[in-house]
Amino acid sequence: MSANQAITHVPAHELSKKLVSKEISSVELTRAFLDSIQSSNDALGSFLHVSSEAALEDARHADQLLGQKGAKDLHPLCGIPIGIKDIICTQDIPTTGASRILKDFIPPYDATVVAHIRSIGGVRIGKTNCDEFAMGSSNENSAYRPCHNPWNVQHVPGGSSGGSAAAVSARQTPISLGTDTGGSIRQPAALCGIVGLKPTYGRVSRFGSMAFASSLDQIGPMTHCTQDAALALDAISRPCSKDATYQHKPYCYNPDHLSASIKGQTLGVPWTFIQGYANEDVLENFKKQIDFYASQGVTIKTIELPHQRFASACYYILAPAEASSNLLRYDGIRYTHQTKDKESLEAIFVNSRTEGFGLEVQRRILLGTFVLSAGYFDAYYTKARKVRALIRQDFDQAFEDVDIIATPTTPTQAFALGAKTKNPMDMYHADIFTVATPLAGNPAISIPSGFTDKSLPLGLQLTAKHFDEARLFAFGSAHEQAFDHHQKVPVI
Amino acid sequence: MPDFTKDDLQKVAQLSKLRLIDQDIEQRLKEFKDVLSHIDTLSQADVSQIQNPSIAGLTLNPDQPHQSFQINKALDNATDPQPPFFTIPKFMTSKGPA
Repeated sequence: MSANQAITHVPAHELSKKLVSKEISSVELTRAFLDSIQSSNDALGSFLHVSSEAALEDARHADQLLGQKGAKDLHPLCGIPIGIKDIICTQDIPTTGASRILKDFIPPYDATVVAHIRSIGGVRIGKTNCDEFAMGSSNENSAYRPCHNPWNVQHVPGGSSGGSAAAVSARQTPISLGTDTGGSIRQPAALCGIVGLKPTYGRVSRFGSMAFASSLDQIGPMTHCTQDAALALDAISRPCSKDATYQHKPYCYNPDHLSASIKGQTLGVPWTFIQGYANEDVLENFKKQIDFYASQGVTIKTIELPHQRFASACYYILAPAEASSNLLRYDGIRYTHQTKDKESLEAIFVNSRTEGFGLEVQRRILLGTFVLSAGYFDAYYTKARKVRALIRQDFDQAFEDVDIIATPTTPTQAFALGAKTKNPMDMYHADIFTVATPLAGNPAISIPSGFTDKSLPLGLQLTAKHFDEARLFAFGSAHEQAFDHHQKVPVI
Repeated sequence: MPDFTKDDLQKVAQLSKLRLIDQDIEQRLKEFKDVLSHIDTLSQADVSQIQNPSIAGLTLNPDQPHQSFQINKALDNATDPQPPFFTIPKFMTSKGPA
C-alpha cells in the first residue's frame, strides 16, 4: 500500500481522528485525494469537475478550525473531502446536471446541503458525474462522458449517482453526495460496493438540488461504511427555511445508534416479489444476508407488499410528469444553452431544448407531457397518485409487524456498458427493487453484501419507518461487524 | 392503451417544446409505446378505496420572502446581461410575434 493509499483507503470517521490528533492535516489529506482523482479519473470518469482550488481553500480553513481550542467539539467531518453530485448547486463552481443545456452554468448560490458542509468545515473536492438531470440507471446518459465501474471498467457503475458511487468505491473521496428519486443513490452504491443512504423524504433540504421529480427527490450520502453515512446525514439534514417540504427533523449522530442491539427485532422479506425479479446470483447472495440476520437473533417474517408490483409503472408516470413540468424552466431564454437558430420565439424554445437535452431526458419529458395532457390526466396521473397512496399504505401496514424490510438492492449485478441503452424498458427494470421506497417516502440504505464469482459487488437494501434512519444504521453496522465487504477496494 | 400514432407523438413533442427528427420517429414511437404498455399495467390496480391521494403526514412550510443574491450575481449566467436587465433575441415585429 502506498503512502497515499494509507490515507485514501481509510473511512472518514477514522480520518477525522487523524485530523484531530494532528497526525495529518486537512490540506495533506485533501492533496492525497486530489492525487487519487488525478490518477484514476481518466479511466473512470467519476468527476466532471475537480474543484482543486476550492478544496484546498476549504482544507486550509478546516486546518485553522482544527488548530484552535475545542477541535474535539468540531463536527467529525471537518476537514474531510466530499464529492458533490453535479446536480447539486455549488456557488462559483460549475454545475451542469450532466446536461448540455447547462454546459456553462455557474450557480450564484450553494444548495443547502453544500452550505451545511461548508459550515462544518467540510471540503468540496469536486462535482461527480451522473445521468443527465438524474435520469438513468447506468450513468450512460451523462452528456459529457459515461462513468465506469471501478470493479470492472467495462461495466456501468449504476445511476443516476454513478460518479458519486464510483468515486467513493475508487477511494477518490471518502464521502460523496448523491440524489435518489427512484433508486439513484442505492442502486449505484450496490453496483460499486459501497454504502448509499436515501433519507426519509423531508429529512434533508432539497434547496439547490436541480429538480427532477420534486415529490420524490432526496439528497443522501454515499460512503465506505454505515458510520460515515450517519455522520454525513447529521451534517446535511440540518435546518433549512428554503425548502417547503423540509420537515425540521434533523438527524443527530449518536454512536449508540450504531451499536444498538438488533437481537429480537423483526425483519420482513417480500419473498414473492423478490423471487419474481432477482437473478440467481442476487437471490443466492440475498438468502445469505437473511441467514446472517437470523443468526443474530432477528426474527425473519415473510411479508406481502401487494401493490409493489405497480411501483415501477406508478413511478414512470409520476416522475416524468413532474420532470416535464420542472424542466420547462430550461427554455433558452434566461440562463441555459441558447440556440443560434432564433427565427421566432417558438424556435428559441424548441431548438434550445432539442439541442440541449439528451435522448433520455427528452423521452421522459414527452412521457410526462402525455400523462398530464387533457384526456389522459385522470387515467394516468390521477390513477398513479392513488396507487402511490396504496403503496404507502402497504409499507405502513408492514411496519406494524416488522422493524425493517429487506430486499436485494438490484435485480442483477452491474451490467456491461451499452447492454441496456437500446431498450429503455430494460434500463427501467434496473430499479425494480428501489422505486417503491421513494413513492412511500421511507428511508432506505444499501450496504455491500458480497461479490459475484466475477468480482462484481452486490448490495442489500434495508428499509425502515419514516425518520427511523437510526435503525438502518444499527442493522448496517451489525452487518459490517460480521463481514468485510465494505473494506474491499477495487484495483484500477 | 390508446392507439398511439406518429401524429400523436408529434403533437406531444410540440406541447413539450421539443422537435423530433423524422428519421428517428419510428424508433421513438416504438419506445414510447413500450413504455405506455408498461405504465398501462396500472389499470389493473383497484384504487376505489383511495379518496384523497395527497401525501399523508407531509406538512409544507410557509413560503416566506428572504434575502436572495444580488441582481448582478443573478444575471451572471444570462446570455447577454445588461444589468439590471438581460437582453433576449428580438421576436416581436410591428405585426406581432415573428
